[in-house]
Formats: sequence, structure tokens, C-alpha cells
Amino acid sequence: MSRRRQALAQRLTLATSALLALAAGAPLHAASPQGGAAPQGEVSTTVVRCGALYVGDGTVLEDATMVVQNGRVLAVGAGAGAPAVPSGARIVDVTGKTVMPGLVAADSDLAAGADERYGVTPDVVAVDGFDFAKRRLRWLEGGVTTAYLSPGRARLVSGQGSVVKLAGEDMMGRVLADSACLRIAMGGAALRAPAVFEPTAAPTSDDPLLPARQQAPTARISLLTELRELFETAVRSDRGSNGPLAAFSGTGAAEDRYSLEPLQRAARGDLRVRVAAARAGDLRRALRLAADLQLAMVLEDPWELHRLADAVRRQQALGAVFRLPVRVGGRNPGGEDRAQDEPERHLDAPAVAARAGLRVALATSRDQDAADFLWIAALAIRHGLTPTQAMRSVTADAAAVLGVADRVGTLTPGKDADFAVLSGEPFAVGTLVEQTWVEGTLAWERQASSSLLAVRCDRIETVAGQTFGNGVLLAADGKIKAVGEGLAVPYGARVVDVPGGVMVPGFVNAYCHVGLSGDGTGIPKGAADQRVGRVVDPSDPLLARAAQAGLTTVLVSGTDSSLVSGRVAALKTAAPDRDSLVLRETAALRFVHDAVGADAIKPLADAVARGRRYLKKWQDYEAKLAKKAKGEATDEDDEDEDETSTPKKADPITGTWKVELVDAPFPLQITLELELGEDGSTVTGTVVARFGSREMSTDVQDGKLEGDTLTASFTLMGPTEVTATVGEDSMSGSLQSPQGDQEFRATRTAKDGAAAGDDDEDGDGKPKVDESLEPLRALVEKKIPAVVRVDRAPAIRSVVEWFAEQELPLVLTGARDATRDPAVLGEQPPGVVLDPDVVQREDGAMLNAAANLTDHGVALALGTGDTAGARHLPLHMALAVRYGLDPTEALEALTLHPARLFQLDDRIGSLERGKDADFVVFSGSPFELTSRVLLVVVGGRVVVDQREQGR
Amino acid sequence: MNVRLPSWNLLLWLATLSPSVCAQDQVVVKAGKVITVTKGTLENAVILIENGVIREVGQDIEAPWDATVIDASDKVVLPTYVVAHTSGGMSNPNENMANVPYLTVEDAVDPSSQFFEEALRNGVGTLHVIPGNATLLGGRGMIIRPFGRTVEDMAVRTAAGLKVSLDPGRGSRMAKIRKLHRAIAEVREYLADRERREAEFAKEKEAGAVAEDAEFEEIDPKKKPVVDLLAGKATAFFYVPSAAEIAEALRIRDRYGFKAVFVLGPACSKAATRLARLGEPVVLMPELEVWETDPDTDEESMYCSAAELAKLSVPFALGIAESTRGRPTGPTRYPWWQMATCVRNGVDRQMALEALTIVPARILGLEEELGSIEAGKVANLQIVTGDPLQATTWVDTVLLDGEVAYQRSEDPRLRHLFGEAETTEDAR
Repeated sequence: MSRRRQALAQRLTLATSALLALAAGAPLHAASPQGGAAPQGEVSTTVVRCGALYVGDGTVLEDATMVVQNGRVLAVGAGAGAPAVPSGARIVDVTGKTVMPGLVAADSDLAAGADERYGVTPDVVAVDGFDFAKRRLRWLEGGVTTAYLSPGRARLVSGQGSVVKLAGEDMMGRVLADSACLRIAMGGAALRAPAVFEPTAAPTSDDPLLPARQQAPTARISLLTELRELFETAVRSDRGSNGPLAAFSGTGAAEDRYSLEPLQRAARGDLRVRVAAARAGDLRRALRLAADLQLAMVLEDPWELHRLADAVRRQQALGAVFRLPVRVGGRNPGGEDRAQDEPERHLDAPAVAARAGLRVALATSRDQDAADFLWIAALAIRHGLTPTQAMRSVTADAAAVLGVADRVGTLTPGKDADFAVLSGEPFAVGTLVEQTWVEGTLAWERQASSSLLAVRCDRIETVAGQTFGNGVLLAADGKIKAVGEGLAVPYGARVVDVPGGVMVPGFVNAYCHVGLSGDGTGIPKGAADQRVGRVVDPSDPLLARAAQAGLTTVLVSGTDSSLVSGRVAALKTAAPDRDSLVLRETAALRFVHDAVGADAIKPLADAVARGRRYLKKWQDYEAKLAKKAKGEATDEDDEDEDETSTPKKADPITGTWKVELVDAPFPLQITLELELGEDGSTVTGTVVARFGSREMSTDVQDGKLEGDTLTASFTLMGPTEVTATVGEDSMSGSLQSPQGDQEFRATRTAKDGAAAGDDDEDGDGKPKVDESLEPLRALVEKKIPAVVRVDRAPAIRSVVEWFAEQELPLVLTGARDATRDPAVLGEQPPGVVLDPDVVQREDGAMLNAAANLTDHGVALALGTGDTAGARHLPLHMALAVRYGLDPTEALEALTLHPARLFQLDDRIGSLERGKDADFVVFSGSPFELTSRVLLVVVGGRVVVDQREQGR
Repeated sequence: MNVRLPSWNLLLWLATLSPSVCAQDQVVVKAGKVITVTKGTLENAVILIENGVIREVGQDIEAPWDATVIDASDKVVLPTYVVAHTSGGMSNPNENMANVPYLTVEDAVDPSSQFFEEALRNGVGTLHVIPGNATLLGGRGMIIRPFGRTVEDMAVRTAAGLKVSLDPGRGSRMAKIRKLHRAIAEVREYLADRERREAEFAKEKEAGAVAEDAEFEEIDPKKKPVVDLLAGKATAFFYVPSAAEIAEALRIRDRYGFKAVFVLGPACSKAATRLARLGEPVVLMPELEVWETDPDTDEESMYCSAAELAKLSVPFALGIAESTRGRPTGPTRYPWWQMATCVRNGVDRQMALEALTIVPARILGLEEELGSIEAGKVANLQIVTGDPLQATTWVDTVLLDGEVAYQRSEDPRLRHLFGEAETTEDAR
């Protein structure tokens, strides 16, 4: 036990001890009938056993026991004074933990919406703006059970503040006070009300349309006058009874005028006035108003209190509320945006207020995460508040300042059983709230994590050829450990039962843009060097929505743009961190090919050839490295190395050439990447031409080097012949094309061609990583497939034949003509990613594209090609099923087929041991429209659990 | 409120003119299956209609020799749908001014609106058209049939519900609620003042200061709808956008003691337990499924308002989406989609069907006339080709007041879209 707590314990007053003894002897009948947790007539008793118990008024009990009956504290005590445990009571054993009253936040903006147009709206009630249905988990996590609701801050008289509980079933029962105070702004905020335009529905000369009216006050000088006049009007109308009409004031339409009743109550002293007065001048005016009108006043954020401490001491205000302006764990901007009105916020102000005899209540600033609410009290201790005062400032005194001390703020008999269970001493840095109780009911509990997950359901479709009735799936560390019928569930596993559920592997959307629209600039165009896996926004809510619909993997890419259209990344729809979200950074490369004709395939072939050359550079480099490593081990290979590398040292051609056109008609940048063949005369390579942002490239043909004369040709904006004289790292010559001849000079900027013999022995010959060629390299290495968007039958035929010839993995997408006549895909059809129009009507006839393809033996996948709509994937497939697609095929098309096509089937696609634990449990057959998603697990984590929402 | 059945009048009028129409007094529908909604499902049943009213429903009914026979022996017959709340069929759903209780949709309904055409095509026989939700006191609605050339033709009941809306729009929720209190308070002040003046008037009359036959002023027509509401003579269609306003809406209703039908936004289902205690049927806005991100945990979750209410046995009426200013809406404009959405989320089929038939009829106070196929009810029937919850099912024929109001084979728009061949084929 710390010294501080000991000191507090010693201060246990005699009166409290007597009270506790009494409570221990004969249970006090204190709990009033309303607001209890149990229905009337029934008695529910809970006994809380804990370590230290902070009563809230400054006393601390060690090894305490608290008896809670029907949501109210019945008795509290420790040691000899511990209350007897009633029979049948529920025991909550938190021995060794600390219990303190539920924290009372003396200020919050939980009800605030947009500010009213009018400067004076006393009949606004803050609780009307509070959403009772919303869960307040962060506040409960911070141990906060009661909060003051501000009616708004930027108006002269904003309305009435309210006090509510932050948890509880009965909405209206959660209101501790709907009219807790009348909120008045004394500072600059009150001067900013806009001019109001009050149109009339049908203007006449008696009731004309008037221009917008400026609202007073607009300067501090008229603040007090304005307020006095308000109160005087109210008091006058209170005294004289001129019928109901007199109780209203204001201008404009009927619904815009306001009731004077709250002002009257305040003037009578029945309603406390809460005055925001940050600066000393504002504070002075507030004190004058309160003294003149005999108001019961609470000060809000009186940061410059130290300049008026004496005046405050003379004229007792009820208390002061401070919203500590520190955002723990966030940026703390200064008063840049409203410099003139912001006073210096002295963190010592709460201590000054306490010394001036005010009750001090603390709250978090607007943007501070309430989960660390206790920190503000700890911070106030650092700045001069005593620990007891700090404790009271978030419990007993806060409740007193808000006028709800009869219900909350202390754990004494008769009060509401709102309390927090802490892991240790309240103000210690390592202490966390573990449980939060409201009126004897557990409202929030810190979750411990578990690793082994067991899901039991009626049927498991593994899509690996097995179906298990009474199925059980065990998952650990994100992987499937076992799938089978009626498996025993190991001890300690978290068991999720889904009676009646049908489990299938998580669905795969084979083409969509989820995660790419996050910054609001639209879906980017796909590009080969775009590393999609890195640019996706893991917090895109559409990922979670896709998960809700049963999708666990999405293949994401930019929109299709050009021939080499862009990379595809495979993403999970849910993951604890970015790394595990990305299943494969580059899962495919998309192409758009719609050329038809003799040489139509050539651009595609050229692109692939670039990939091959790039690959060769790397292979050569790796071979060299391997050789070198070997060479160091054994000396006998030295000769070989010399043999291959010697002739290349004199190579005059291989490398990158920068071409300068002499007197070029327009700024065209041409780069040649040339390579000298083994025979010493054949030259191959690429011509890349850039014009502004456009880039074109083609292969060099018939390249020949004879002596120092280079001849070659290429087709770029027409057939072009090259003739040049090659010198030392430079050449000059002409380009002859139908448009005319063009002189050029070129210099060699790099000699790092694929076969470049490098002088550097230390292996600087490492090729440069070219992001735009990396996916092509993966393609020619057959690590990823090419996904080619192609629609017309001849184009389909040529693509399929070419890829078969090259033995490269191919997936078609779109494939319009193939959906009508699958025969164009040939004998060994490639996989097809269908667009969502799986069923089409054409000339009145129904065309089921999905069924047509599967009948032909095509491995089918489905891509929706959208963002928000990605989650409708299973619905599109259901449509195909409705019109005749075999449901088994449909299921494979959403799971195993896309996994295989994108070579992800080592991780996903079916429910087998060792694969990722990604699955969905439906309430019935997955393609029934009436079936709902009950459970979605991604990487062994339950990300959707809607078992309670079905029936 | 007077019942208007213009079609009856029309029939009677025709009957006096032309003897050949007399035979149409009796219509017999031979149905493969009748979904009565309230009395179960009958196979191979006959519905006998006389003068636009269902006379008998059953399996052993002899068709009168002179009755017009509609053969639907391979089809399914069910009552036309009743939509308890919509702002469709008007050029704008509501006025921009907030406090306009004196307006009525009679002045805004467009009989040639595509909304009504589509409603009829999808089997809707009755709609309560009422001003939209972007108001405070928005005006009065009327109950219409989506069939007829003029508003008078279409009218079933005028001066139906009064729109009261808690939609905060751009302002704050508490300000909106305050405004509603103030708007009502103003009418109450007016009434108190009028009472005082009426007493004075009576005194003056006694004293002979005013003429003997002088009448005291009528109630201000601009305030009349709210006066009726406060007197329990009108029903508020009380729009509650989210669960946050439910408690307040109940408080307002109880405080002023008016009759209210709650029209709920999709997120209201979070207050389902509260609504269950209310024990009254509610109206759901067309959007049934709503996604929500928990601001504390960032958890995404989906609610289906209908399913949440069904779990607690709160009866509800479904809405259909209207297109606003020509913008097309999603599938929520189809009754079958709305019902199937309910079933997909775990609602019982019967309850889903009731949500577009008998429940809205009850809400509109028309349960004696509409919402099911029973003897004595108005013969508003739809003949469909199969299960009404399936997308592949078409509405083949709609009878309103026993008269054929729609036939798919005659549907000019479908003919235009699909050509003659397909419509007749589907109609078969």
C-alpha cells in the first residue's frame, strides 16, 4: 500500500466510521424504489469484494466489501465493519483491485449539435440532443458513468444543461437532471451569434419581409446590459400574470420565440446558472451579475481565476468546472485560430480555485479521448490539487457542482451503485479501468484475448471435396488447425456455436477497387509500377462492409487503362495490421487487349519481351553472384568466368543510349536500350519515345553492327530505318521514315545492359529495380498470372493461343464473346473472371454467362469492379444460380477458383488444414436470398458476429 | 372524413347507361392459390366479387352464369399492397418552410407521375401520400389509389395524417425539439386566447352589443390542422430519424396527448425495446438495412430495422422508395424486394407480407376495407405469376374496387420497352 493511500485511510472520519458500522450491523433501507436494476418486487443483491475502496468523499477503505441491492449501494465496510453477505447474493470477487465511484464528467459536448441561430434560447434542453441509443464505450472504458451535457457554447444563453448516465437500458431512467443549469456565455463566444433572417411565409405590408437582423451583443460592452434586460423581462413577466403570452419573448416565427420560464427559475434561485468566463474581465462581469441578481452560480473554465481569487473568495460561487486543455496522446494546437479570445490556460487554475474555497470539478477537453479520463485528475495533482481534492473533483464534488450528489459521486448507502474497478491505485500511470458498473449492472469490461477458436455449425462445405455435417473447425494463429465432423474442442478454446449454420470458405472478389477511394480523389488508374498493396487504405470502411457480406479476400487494382494496365493486390477484408491485410502485394498483372488483326498480339508480346529481358538481367546477375560465391570457395571456375566476360568488355553497343534529335520539330525524348548478341553483330533492344507524359516503346528489329556502322529498324509512328556510326560511347546518324529524314546524335548513359560486362569486380552490376517491369518479371517467371481484359472473339483466340505458346499463366476477364460461345477459348480454356452481369438478356433471350462457361469446363471467378458494390458479389452469383448455374460451381467460383487462378490457393480458397482461417457461416444455403451472414472469420479473428440479429 | 369510392360511382353510372356493363357487377376470380393474408392460403379457390366488394372466398363457390370470369388458375392472388407513408408522386416532397401544417398534398399530387404508374405495376393498390420529412409541421396527406386521371379520381380519403418531423436537418436535435414545442405552444396560446375572446363575445351577445345571428370567428385555417391534432381529431405521422429521438418523440406525444403513428428511420431499431413497450404498429422508412461504424471501436455493423422490430414482435409497415426529382432509386422501390429483405434478415414470411397489407391498412384506419382477402372487403386484388417475394414473379393483373386497373399484357410502357412478343409471353 502506498504512503499516500495510507494517509488517506487514516483520515477516515469518525462520522463515516459510525455510519459504516451502522450499515454493517443493520442493513440500511436506503435504496429508493425508482431506478433499480431489478424489476419491482424482485430483489437482486450483489456483493463486491475488493482491495481498496475509494468512497469518493476522500475516505479509503482497505479490503472492503460493498453490498449492492437493486442498483443501489446498501452497505459499505471493511475489516470488522464489513457488512454481512446476504444469502443468495451474487458475489463479484475483485479482491486486490481498487474500486472507486463511477467518474462524473462535469462537462461534455455529448449532446451538442450545430449552434442555434439565435443568441438567446433558454428553453433548449441539452438532453434532447443526447443519443441514448449510442454506446459510450470509450467513456465507460475511462470509468465515466455520469456526464453533464452542455447545450452549446457559442451563444449568450444557450439553454439548459442536463446530466445523464452513460449506460443503462431505460432511456428516461438515465436522466439524472434534464434541467441542471442555465448556461450563459460571458466571453467572446457570446458575441458571435449570426445575423438572423426571419422570412415570413406570405409577406404583406403589415407583415413584411425584413432584412437579416443583427443580434446583440456584438461587443463585451453590451453583454451585461443585454443579460440584465433578459432577466428583468423574465422577472417582470413572472410577477405580473398577463396570461400565457407574456411568458414568451424573442422575435421571428412562432417556433423561433423562446420561453422565459428558465430565466425566471434562475432569477428565483431555483436553477443554477453556469457561466463560462475564461478571462478575468469576463469573470468580473459574471460575479457582478451573480451578486446583483442573487444567482446560484457555477463557473465554467475560469482560467484567469488567480487574478480575482479574492473576489471569488468573498462571493461564494457554488463551484468551478475546468476542462483541462491537454489532449493526452494527440496534437495540442494553440490558440492560432482564435488568438484574441483565448486566455492563457493555467493548469494551476483548479488548485487556485480550490484554495479560493470553490468546489472544483474536472472534465476532459472536447477532443480528449475519455478512455483516459482519470489522467486529468492526476494531471491536476501535478499542478497543485491534493489527491483527495483530485479524487473528489471527478466524483463527489463533480456531482455536487452538477446538483446530482444525491444520486452519484460517492459509494455511500443509498447512492446509485455506479463504480469502476481499477487494476491499481487510481492515479498511477499503469492503472487501467477493468470494469465499469452502472446501477449494479456491469456496463463495460476490458477484454482479454484468446488464441484458439472453435466454430461449430450444422454443415461445413470445405470446397476441397468434403462436406461435414455437425461440423467443427478449429483455428489457431490465424490458420486452420482442423476441420471435421464432431471434433472434440480443446480446453480453453473460445467456442462459437452457430446452430443451423452452413460454413463455406470466405468469398473472393476477383476484381474491385475497395480501399483505393479513401482520399476522395476517385479510383486511380492502374499502372504497372503502382504498388497497390501499399496505396490501399486499410481503414476503408468498405473493407469491413465487404467482410459483412462474407467476402474475406478482395483482389484490388486501379481501373483498367492501357495495354499494361496495372498490378493487382490480394487483400484480406479484415486484419489487425496492414501487413497481414495484404495477402499478396502483387497477385496479378492486368492487361487490356482488344486489338484484332494480323499483328494485333504484338504490343502484348513486346511488353512480355521487356519482362523477359529484365528477368534475364537479374538471372545473369544472380548467376554471376553464384559463380563468384563459388569462385571464392573453389578456384577452378575462374577460367569460365573470363571466357564469358572478356569479349563483352569491348562491347561498343550494349547499354542505354540517350538520343538527341538534331533540330527536332518537337521535343521528343528517345532512349535506346541496346544489347549486342553473342555473335558480335546482331543488335536487339527497345526504343522508348517520350512526348510530354506519353510514352511509347517498341522493339528494335534487324539490328546489325558491322564495323562501326549500326543499322536497324523499328516501327514507331510509322516504319523507321536507323543508320548510325558508332564511336566511343557515342553515335550519330539518321532516322529515315516516310515523314522524312532526321539527324540524331546519341550518347551512352549506361553500360548496364543485360549482358554488360562490368568492369567493377565488386558486383556493382546489380540491375536497377524497375517497378514498372517487376510485375512483368513475375509474370514471365510464372509467379503471377496475366489478367487480360479482352472481349472480341478473334482477340480472345489470339491471346489464348499466344499465352499457350509462351506457356504463361493466363486469366481472361470480361471475355464477352466467350460467354456466348465458349468454344473460342479452345480445348484447354484459361480461367475467366466474369464481370457482374452474369446473366444478360440479348435480343430477348436469356444468356447465363456463368453457366455457359462452367459447362465448357472453364474455371470461373467473379469480379464486381467497384468499391461499395464489392460486397454484392454473392448476390450476383446467386442471380446466376437462379438462372441455372450449378450451386457447387457457383461456390467454387467464389472461393477455390479465384484462389487457384491467382495462385493464392496455398493460403485461401478452401477449408483445409494449414490454410488461412477465412470463412463465413450462413444461416442457410449461401446462395439463398433469404440466408443471412451470421459469422465471418478472417485470419482466425471473428470480424462479424450477427448471430443475435437473426432468428 | 368521408369515404370516397369514385369507382363505385363510376360503375353505377355506367350501369344505368349501358346494359352490357351490368354483367360486370359480378366478377369471379378463379385462382390457383389465394394468399388471404389474414385467413391463411387457399389452393384452387374462387373469389366472388360483387359491386367492387368481395362477397365470398372459398373452394366450393359456384360462379354465377352471368359473372365475368378472370381465370388465374395457374396464378397466385393476393391483396394489393398498402403503403402507409410515402412522399412520391409529387414534384417536391415538401415545402422548404418548416412550419406549414395547413398545406395538403391534394395540391401537389400529380396523377400522371411515373411513381404511381410503377406502384400499380408492382401491385400497390393504396398509398398514403404525405409531405416529406424535411419540415417541422409539414402539412396533411391523403390516401389515394394509383389509378385515375385526376386527383379526385384517385382519392380514397382526403385530409389523412399530419406530418410532424423531428429531422434536425442542418441544425441540432435539441433545437429542433425546442422548435416543435414552441410551434405547438403557439397554437395552444392561440386557443387560450380565442376561448377568452369567445367568452367575451358571448357576453357581448347577451348584452346585445353584437347582432343576434352573429357567429364567433372560425378557427384560423392556418392553425386548424394542429388544433385538430391537439383535439385528437387528426393523426400525426411522426417522423423520427434515429433512435436518439425516440424517447423524446414519445415524451412529446404523451405531453400533448395527440394520436401519432411513428415513422422510423432505419437506425431507430436500436430503440426496439422501447418501441416494443409501446405496442403500436410503426411505419418503417424504405431504407431497411443500415450500416454503422461504432465511433469507439470502429466496428462496422449492419442493422435491419425490420428484423430488430420483428424479434420483439413490434408490428411494422414497410415503405417503398420514391424517386426524388427524377433521380432513380435502388431496388427498395419494389415491394417484393422490401419483403425479401425482411425475410433475408430473419423476419417471418407472413410478417413480411402483413407489413405491406394488413398492418398499413390498420395504421391508416382502413382495416375493415383493405389489407386482406375476406368477404366484405374492397376487391383490391393482384394476380401474380408465382411467389410474391421472388424477383421472377410478375404482377399480371391488378383489380381495384373489382375493376381491372392494370394488365401486364396491356402495359404500354412494357410494350414500348420489350415489344409485343415478350410481354404477352410473360403475361401467359
